[in-house]
This record gives sequence, C-alpha cells and structure tokens, in this order.
Amino acid sequence: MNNAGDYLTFSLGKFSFGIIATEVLELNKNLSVTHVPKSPETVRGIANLRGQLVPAIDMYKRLGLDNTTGQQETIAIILKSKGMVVALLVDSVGEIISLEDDTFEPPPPNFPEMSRELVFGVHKLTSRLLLMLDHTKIIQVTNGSKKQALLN
Amino acid sequence: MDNTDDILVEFIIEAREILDQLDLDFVLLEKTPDDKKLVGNIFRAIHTLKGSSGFFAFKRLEKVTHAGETLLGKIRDGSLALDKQKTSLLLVTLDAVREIVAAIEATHAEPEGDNAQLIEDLLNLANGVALAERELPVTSAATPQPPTAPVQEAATQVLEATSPALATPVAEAASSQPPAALPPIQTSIQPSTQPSTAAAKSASPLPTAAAQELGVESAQEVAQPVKVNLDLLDKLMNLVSEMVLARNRLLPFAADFGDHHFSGAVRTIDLLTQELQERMMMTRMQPISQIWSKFPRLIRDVSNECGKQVNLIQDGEDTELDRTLLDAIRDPLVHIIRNCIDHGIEAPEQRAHLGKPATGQVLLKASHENGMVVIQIADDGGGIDFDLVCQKAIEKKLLTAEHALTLTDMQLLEYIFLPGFSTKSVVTNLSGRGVGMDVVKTNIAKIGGSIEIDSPRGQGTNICLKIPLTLAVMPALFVRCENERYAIPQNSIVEMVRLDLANDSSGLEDFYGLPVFRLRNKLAPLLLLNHQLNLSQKFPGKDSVVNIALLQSGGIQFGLLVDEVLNMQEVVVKPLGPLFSGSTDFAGATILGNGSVALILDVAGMANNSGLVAKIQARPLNPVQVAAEVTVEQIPMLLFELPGLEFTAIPLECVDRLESFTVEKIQKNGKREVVQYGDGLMHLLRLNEYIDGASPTSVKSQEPLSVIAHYVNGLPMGLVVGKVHDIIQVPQIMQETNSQQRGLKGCVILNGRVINVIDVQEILRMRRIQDNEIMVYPDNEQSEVAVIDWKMVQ
Repeated sequence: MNNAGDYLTFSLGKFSFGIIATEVLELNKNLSVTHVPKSPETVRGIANLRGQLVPAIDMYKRLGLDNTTGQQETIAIILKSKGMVVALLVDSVGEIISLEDDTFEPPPPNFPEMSRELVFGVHKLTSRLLLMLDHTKIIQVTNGSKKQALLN
Repeated sequence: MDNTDDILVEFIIEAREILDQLDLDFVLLEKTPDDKKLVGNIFRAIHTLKGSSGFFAFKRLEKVTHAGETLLGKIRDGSLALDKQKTSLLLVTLDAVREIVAAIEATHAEPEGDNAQLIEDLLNLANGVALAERELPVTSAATPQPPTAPVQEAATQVLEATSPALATPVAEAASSQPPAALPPIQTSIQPSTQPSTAAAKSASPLPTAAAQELGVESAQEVAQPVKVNLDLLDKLMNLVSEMVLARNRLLPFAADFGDHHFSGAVRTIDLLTQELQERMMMTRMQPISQIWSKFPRLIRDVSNECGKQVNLIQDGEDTELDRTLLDAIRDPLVHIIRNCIDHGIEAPEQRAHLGKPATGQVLLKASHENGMVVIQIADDGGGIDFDLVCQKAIEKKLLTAEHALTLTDMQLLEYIFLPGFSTKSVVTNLSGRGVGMDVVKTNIAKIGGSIEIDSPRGQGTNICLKIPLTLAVMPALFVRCENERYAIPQNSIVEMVRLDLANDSSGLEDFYGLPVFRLRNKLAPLLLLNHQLNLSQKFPGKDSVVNIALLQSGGIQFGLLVDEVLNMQEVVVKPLGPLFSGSTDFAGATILGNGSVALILDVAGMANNSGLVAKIQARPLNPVQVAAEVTVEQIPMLLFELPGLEFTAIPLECVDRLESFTVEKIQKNGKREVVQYGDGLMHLLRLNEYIDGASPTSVKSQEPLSVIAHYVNGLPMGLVVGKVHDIIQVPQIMQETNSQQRGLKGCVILNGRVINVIDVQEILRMRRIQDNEIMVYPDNEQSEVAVIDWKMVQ
C-alpha cells in the first residue's frame, strides 16, 4: 500500500488520526443522529444527509477507546467506504496534510487487536504521532464486532 | 466493445417491445382476420426483427423470423386466410424468438440450435395450405371467426407509447401446444393502452413497400418516449423530497423578515417546489395496463391448454400505480388468472349442462378506492370447491373430521393460503404444486396489500386485491417510546386501546410468561415496545393508564404498549442500509419534516422476534372463547317496548329503517292502516295485536307512532311499536318458551331481564291468513261482500 498522499486529520480525545482525504465527501457539524435500538454498539444510529440515510459510526467505540472527555463529538466526517456513505463521529477535525512515505511506520505488534484491523500504520510527525486509518475497513469490522457482541 | 453492447441492449429492449405487442396483435387478429392494417403491422414488426437480427448476424433468429415473415406475407397479400392453426404456429414462433432473445441477453451470443421443425412447419403452411385453399375455397372461408368491430378499431390505432420498464421478465412459461391438438376455441379481448411499437416501427430502417402502402397512420406524430435510467429517477425523487424539506425551512424566514422581494422569491420557490414534487411523483406512476397487456395471450394459451373457452373483460386498465408495485403484483395476478381458468371455469360441456354460456368470463378490474388500488379478478366458474378443500385439509391432517364440520366456508378459505396446499391431485404444468395462493398472499402482504376472496358455492370466485398506491409513501402512526419517535405502518393497526389499569379489575395479566390484557373478554398478547427494543426494563405500574396499539400480523393479533400516541402522517419509506440488515425490528426509516429521522417498526418482524408467534402457535390464547364463539354466536337485536310488554326485541336483520309518523298521517286502505311512504304506501301492522301478553292499543293516543320498516318481497311493512330503545347483542341460542307463545320466538336473558324476541315470520303469516280470509269472499260472492267489507271499515 502506498502510504503517501493527502490525509485529513482528526482527533478523538488525546489521539490524532489520519484518513485518506480523497474519499471524504464533506464535514458536517451537529449532525442529528437517531439511535437505532439493537444495532451494533459501534453504530450510533442513522442520520439524514440531504435525504440519504447514512449510518453514524461511533469512532470511540469503533476504535475501542474510552471517551474520557465526556463530551459529545462535535463533527461528522462523511466519507465513502466501499461504495457506502458513512458518517464518522469525531471530536474535532484538523487540517489536510500531505504525507510522504519516509515518516511511515507499520503498527507495533503490541497494538490492541481491535485497533490493529483498522490502523494500518503511524506517521511520525514532528509534534505528534498520526494513526492512519484504513477507510475500507470501517464497515467491514462493524459487522465483525456485532458477531462479537452476540457471543458475549 | 462497450458501444456494441449498448446497441445490443437497445436491440433486446426493442425486440421485447415488439414481441409484447405482437402477442396482443395476434390474439386480436384471430378475432378480426380481415383486418389488413393489423396484418400489415405484424408483418412490419417481424420484418424489423429480421432486419435487426441480420445486422447482428444472428442467423438462427433471422431464419425463424424469415419463415414467419413468409407465412405472414401470404396472409397479408390475401392468398392465405388466417385461421386457428396459423395463429397458433405464429405464436409458437414468437415464443421461439422470445427464447432466443432471452438467451442473447444472458450470453450476448445466439444460442445453439436451428428451430428446423418450426421453420419447416411455417413454410409448409405457407405453401401447403395455400394450395388447399385454392381447391376448397368454401371450407377455409368458413374457418375465420366473426369479427368484432370495436376491438378492431381501438387496436389498430397507434396508441401513445408509455415508457416501458427496463427490466422485463424473461420469457413466459406457458407455451402453446402443437397446432394439431388445438380444440376450436373462441377468444376475445378488450383493447387496452399498451406500449405500442410505434417507436420501433418509425425507427425501422427498412420502410418496405407494404409500410408505404399502409403508412397513412405515420402522419399521426407521436412524441417518442425517452428511456431513463431507474437509478437516475430515484435520485431525482430523493432530491425533490429534500428540496421540499429545505423549502419548509425557508418558509418561516419569509414571514419573519417581512421583506416583499424576499417573500416573493420564496413564494415562487414554494410553488415551483410543489409542482416539481407533483410531477416527480407522476414519473413513478404507471398504468396497470403495462402488465395487463400480457394477459390476453396468457389467457388464450392457458384456456387452450385446459380445453376451455374463456373471454377476458378488462376494466380500468389506465389505473395508475407505482411502478415498483407493478412488478410486485405481476406474478400474483398471473397466478390468480391461471387459477381462475384452471380451477374456476368449467369445461364447455359442463357449463352447458349447468345452463351457463359455454364461454366463461374472467373479469379484470382495477380502480382507485380510498387511496388504495383495488384489483378485482372475478370469474363465473364453479367457485372454490369447499368440500374438496375440506377433504384435502383432513387428508393432510391440518384439520380433524369433527372440527371440519364446525367450519364455515369462510374459515375453510384460510386453508387455501397454506403452503403446499392444493386441491389438484395431479400436478400439471399449470397448477397442483400447491405453492400458488401461499405465494400470492405473501407477495401481496409484502407490499402492504391485502387479499379477499369471496366465493359463493357454484357461482364463481371473486378475488379482491387491495394494493397501496405507492410503496414509497404510506400512512403511519407515530408513537413515542422513551425519547424516540417510532412509526407504525397503518395497515397493520387494528385499533388503539387506552387501558386504565386502576379501574380495570383484570389489568395486565400473565399467560405462561406472556403478558396479556383483556379486550372485550378476549385475551390479547402484549408486547412492550421498550422491552422489545431494549430501551428500558420499565413495566407499567398497577394504577397507570397505558396506550396499546392492537396490531395484526400473519393472522396473529397482539397489543403493543407504547408511551404515547402521537400523530398520523404519510411517510416516505427509506431502507436502513446494509449496516442494519440484521435488524428485523425495523422496516425502514423516514425523514420527518424537521429533517430528523424516525424509524418505522416492522410489525411482523417484531412479532417473530419476541417469540410471540411461536408461543401463540404452541398455546392458543383463546381456545375456549373461540369455540364458544362459534357455537354461541351473538346476534344484534333492536330492543323496543310494546304496550304491556316492556322488553321486546326484533332481530336487527329484519329492521330496514326506523320511522315515526304522526297519527294524522295514518290513512285507511280498506281495513288496513297505511301511511304514505316514499312514492308508495306502507301497510302498518300493530305488533301488540299479534303477540300474546301485549295489551291492545289505546284508541285515544295522539302520540306519534314509532314504526319499524321491514321489507317483505320488496314492499315495506310498518311494524308499529311502542317505543324504540337500543340495539343489544344477544346470544343466538334462545330459551324456548315451554308452551309456544303467539308471535314470540322465545326469550333471552340479558342483565337479569327477560327479553321477548318476536317471530316476524309467524306474525306475517298470521297477517296473511287474515288477508286470505277476506280474500275468500270476493271469489265466491263477488262485489256484494266487498261493499259490505268497505262499509264495515267506514
């Protein structure tokens, strides 16, 4: 996989993430999400994006992180993942940055399993580490975690 | 490569259209063999097909169409007359062409094979019969069926083409039999607005001499329909509904700002949006004739195969409904029509024996009713054989013999819808596999429709399908549970119940771990929406007031306890998407006026999820009540008063109207009291004079008379009573009075009161005996007695 390109950065709590910018359709503030009972835990609900129903993914849950800020996410990243439009609920969105291959490193082996499926590597920036998300995996594993929920 | 594929797709669509039109034209032509214009149309259509197949180098298709064209050419120039045999063979040719086209669509290449036999038959008929005709002109002239003029006219018009659905189903399963085995049959159809081949014809690259000869009609310009991708239409539809929502948000601003220019602009946008929405909705609507147009051919084939004579009557073919629904009802309709012919209509000899015309009628009628499309399929055949249904149900151990005796015809009907149920013992390619009505019912239920069957024994079957106008919009009831709003599709709601648990002695009860509540002395299972959706574990307190929606799904009624009942609204149903495909509690979601999303409950899914269906099937909730209801049926009666008898009742079915007359209105007709009633007279009958225990009328009474109008043989009879009270429900089984009381059928006990039920038949009989006694005199002694009688009355 080519790890260079334009990436949109966003943050969840103290973590910074990057996701490929070309697949991002738009950013949406204060997207109103309707909870769907009995849906997988990682799916917060569905939202109305100009007449299209899009599932809203709780990125804290999706990445297995604890939401320590206790605040509601403020912004949704609308992106295409495997031809499906989804909304990722995140705390805040940063700039779009161009990244080169030389700062990239694959994830360390002791990375939590839940995140390892989704995080394909790290870019070492001067001020922070940017965790790189594979946008194609976002939906796929949502289904997996549902199966997990059933087993528990 | 892509380019060729596109042209090929065009060719297939065109070929399908031509074939569909040809199906109709042939059946019409059989009725009106002299219609040269129609023959010309058919010839040109086949010729277009041949031309196109030559272009793509589809040799097999070209050969078949060429042979067909040869035969048609002879028919067109009058050297051959069209008869049953030729029509059948030409229809077989169409089927063969259809198969080839289907194969081309699947593989993009022509299938193997050469249809040699068919081609040979076609050519033989083209040559052989032509010779025979020259020798025996008389016999062949007698063969054609008499023409029916109106059909001919309508069919030959070039009708405006409606844009055809892109996905046309693959070739029909029913195929004609070899021509030799065909019994003589008379088929006729009614014209309908079908997608015509006008486009195909005018686009035909080879205007033949024949086309020019008959080309008068091409002067009539028809706007050509444009083929639009369905996805594009759906996207447009989505955008328009969003536009409506955006407009809704804009409207309040116009009022707030009070700026003339601004509000003017907003008003324009408002109007444009509204019109845009209306027009957009129209693109989804298609006339039902789109699927009906296939039925004349279907009926011809099926009736030929069964050796029956069937006439199809179509009514309301321009009734429009959503195109997605059209696809959904196509198969159920085909199945029902096949059933009508195969099971319903009797063989011609049997019909003659029963005194019915030899040709059976199948009526297909569509209309709009209360925002639903009602499709009626009726036949004048033998109706459903209930005895056979009963027998099969017992054979399949669905029913015990004793239980079967208690079932009414209506109850037996339910068995027809069970999977695997068929009254046919032999499986034919038409019916007998027992998958039919079950599939029909599930398909119709899937699109929110319902099916009703009415089949009086021996008088044919009347099947009524009620289909929502569109799948996209449906009425729904909004309820609140915890903090969210949910929509319940209206077609599954039976009624709303508000239960005050404090005043209701029984309240919510437990039936083998299933919460139940009592509704009019019947137990109804209860689901709690908050439990069902894992929202909370709250249970209503002992003295709370609860809202229950009584829902119906798959024959099971259950109550759904919700926190609050909100409003009724038309909702646009949107699928939840693959991420929620595991959820069986929701049928979809809808976007509300304020832009937020509300979920639509899937009633059937919820009933299944909760295990309710399984529980109820294992342990019927109201076994005793159900049995009791069958035996002790309640019948409604009108409670009234007679002088001397305070509580008297008459079965409500004997009451046609309630009237009140002032004493002055009462006049005399002979000995009888009459009043003017409508255009005629109504004889009055003072009930108290015919019933034991009632006191005679007080002569002086000037109070208005209460009269129950009861029609006997179409003539009104006024039963004069004291005072009308109320309608009551009483058990049908009455306490027989020990010694029969005059004019009384018996009595019932209701709330500790004895209520006398009058015997209308007996009272009328007594009255008739009196009349006859008078009538006896004039016969014997002529006018004299009549005068005396008259004086007596005076």
